Amino acid sequence: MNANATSALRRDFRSSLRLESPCEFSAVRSATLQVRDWLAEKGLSEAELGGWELALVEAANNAVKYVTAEKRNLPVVIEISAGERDVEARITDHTAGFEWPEEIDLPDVESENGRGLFLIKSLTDNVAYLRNSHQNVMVLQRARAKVEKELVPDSGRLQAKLAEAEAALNDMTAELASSYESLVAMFRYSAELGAHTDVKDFSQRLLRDLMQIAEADCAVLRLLSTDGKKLETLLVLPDHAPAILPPVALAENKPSVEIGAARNRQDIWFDPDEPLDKYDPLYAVMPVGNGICHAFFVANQLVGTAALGRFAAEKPFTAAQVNLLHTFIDFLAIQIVNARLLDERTATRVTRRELQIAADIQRSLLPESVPACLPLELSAACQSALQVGGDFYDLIPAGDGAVLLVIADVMGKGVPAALFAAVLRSTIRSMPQLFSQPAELLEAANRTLYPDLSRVDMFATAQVVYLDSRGAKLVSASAGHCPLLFWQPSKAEASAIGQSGFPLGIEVSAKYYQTATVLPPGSAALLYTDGLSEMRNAAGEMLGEKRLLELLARAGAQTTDTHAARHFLLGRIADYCGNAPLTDDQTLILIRNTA
Amino acid sequence: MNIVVDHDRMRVTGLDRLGASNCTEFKQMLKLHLNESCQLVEVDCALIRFIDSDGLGALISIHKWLAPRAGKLRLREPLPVVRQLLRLLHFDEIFEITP
Repeated sequence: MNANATSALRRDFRSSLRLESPCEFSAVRSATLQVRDWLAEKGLSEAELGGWELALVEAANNAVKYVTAEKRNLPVVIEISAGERDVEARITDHTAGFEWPEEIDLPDVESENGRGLFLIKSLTDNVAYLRNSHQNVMVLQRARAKVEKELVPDSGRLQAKLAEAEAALNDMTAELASSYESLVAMFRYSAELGAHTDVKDFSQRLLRDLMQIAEADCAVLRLLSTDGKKLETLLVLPDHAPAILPPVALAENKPSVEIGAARNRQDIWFDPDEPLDKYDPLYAVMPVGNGICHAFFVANQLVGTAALGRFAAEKPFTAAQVNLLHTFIDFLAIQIVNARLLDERTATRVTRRELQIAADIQRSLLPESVPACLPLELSAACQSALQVGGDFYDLIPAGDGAVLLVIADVMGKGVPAALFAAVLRSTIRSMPQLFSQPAELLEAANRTLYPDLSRVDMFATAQVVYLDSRGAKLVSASAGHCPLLFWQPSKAEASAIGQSGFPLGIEVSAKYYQTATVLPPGSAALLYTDGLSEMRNAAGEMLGEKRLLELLARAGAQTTDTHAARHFLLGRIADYCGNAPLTDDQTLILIRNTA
Repeated sequence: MNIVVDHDRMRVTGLDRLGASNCTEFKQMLKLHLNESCQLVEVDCALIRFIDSDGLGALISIHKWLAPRAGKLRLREPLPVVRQLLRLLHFDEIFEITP
């Protein structure tokens, strides 16, 4: 038996009463007495009548006590329906509403207030408090007490009782079938949890099932965008393209029940008395009838909104159908969040693996050993702020005791910077005929790399030094790179030398200049990247070129060992920064004349 | 509702319900007749077939007025439905309920 048949049967065997009472204690009291008399006619026991009377009085008194001043003239509405198995009551109030507490405890025994909700909960089986912007509805439901069937000899009455029992049985079967349908759907969805399922496909099946069970004619599902600023349409059923509903921005002040439900975290109902605004985007799909919009959250974070609509004006959604909407959609919310987490985890794993591979490649590009060029001695280091950085250095033997030193910093960090660092290294290595002419080498490298670098708006700074050990001579050229620092024992202070041109990738016909310097015995020169000079201390103050020059002079005076001098430099820089984590790659090459 | 004050005791009879619509009047009338020497307030509950949380609040209010004066509130012969409610809310622990 399907859900439609279930509801039809249920309605056939229920009768109902609707009363509107002025918003006053004595008036709502009279109304509850009328309800009591009506329930007595339906055959409720004295104990049941007492329970319903008290529960309704408590609910109606709250509606009177807390009504807002401007709505005091609106009636308190009491609707009650009685079936074979249960009684359901709906009390409509015009108060500001409240959050129905998860746990209701009795107040201190000497307190004069605060027992109303406890009594309502104690006297009923189920309570729901549905809040809306213009009214709230408290829905109370309680099963009827079992009545001993009297034995009646009259065959006519017996037939009637039999028919009644059969109807009740059918009703129960129908109810069971409906619950079974919901349960089967939930089990089916649960079985899919954890499997890699397309969220849209899963949502579509769940929403279709929900529409059938809740007897809805249309539905709209929207999800919060990744930037958290708007609700984007995922589904419009039956079978409209999501494009029919453009996104709505949460910050907008336009009529939208979806924005209202999301902002106020409460369901919004619409019906022929309180229809959707014609300018509400949802109106395109749900122009008439009844509807409800529910915003759903996971861990207190908005995930999206779901709206159900019914074209028939005389058929509002029942409390049970609203409960179904909550159950299905809150279940869907968890599935959506789980799917997102799964995707993020997978993406993170892939990225981490890619970075690992790129880092391995980059490490393999650094020189394995330092070429001998006595009496000059070299010591170099490269530390990346990320697993993969844009800094690199190279030490290339250039024949006859000469070595080409390259230090470079590709704009940015991560895999793209590392890839261009690798390309720059290969480009320079492919031009050994220009090693002794660093300026020409940079110009040629710039011409080769310019098309690729400019296409992706990247650039690189580089310094190239041709080291001729025989005359302890350095020929250097710089493409927008930090200057070469130079220290000699005869002078107390170190100094920067050379002049710089455009970084590589900025100007295709860039010109570079080279400077020749002799490195006297005992003196030292330092090539470095800006990650070193731009390190900051706890006060946010940058190390700067001046302090680096001082440190180079101190390192030179401290030791004649090149490696020890490099360690001294890096140690003092670390002291200055207070062991703050690296924010940029750090690379340096120290040259010392050990003669 | 009838109120009879006899020396240190007060007796309230003729009450058939105690709820939001009459609890304010109930409290006001009793406090009007209560005096410092009153040690016992007896409310005849035999006719009360309905009492709600506001009515119970009114009884608590009288109890709190009496307690500092070593007085007490006694509910006489409540109907089973009222007695059940008093028990549910643990009022049988602070009021004397007879029989």
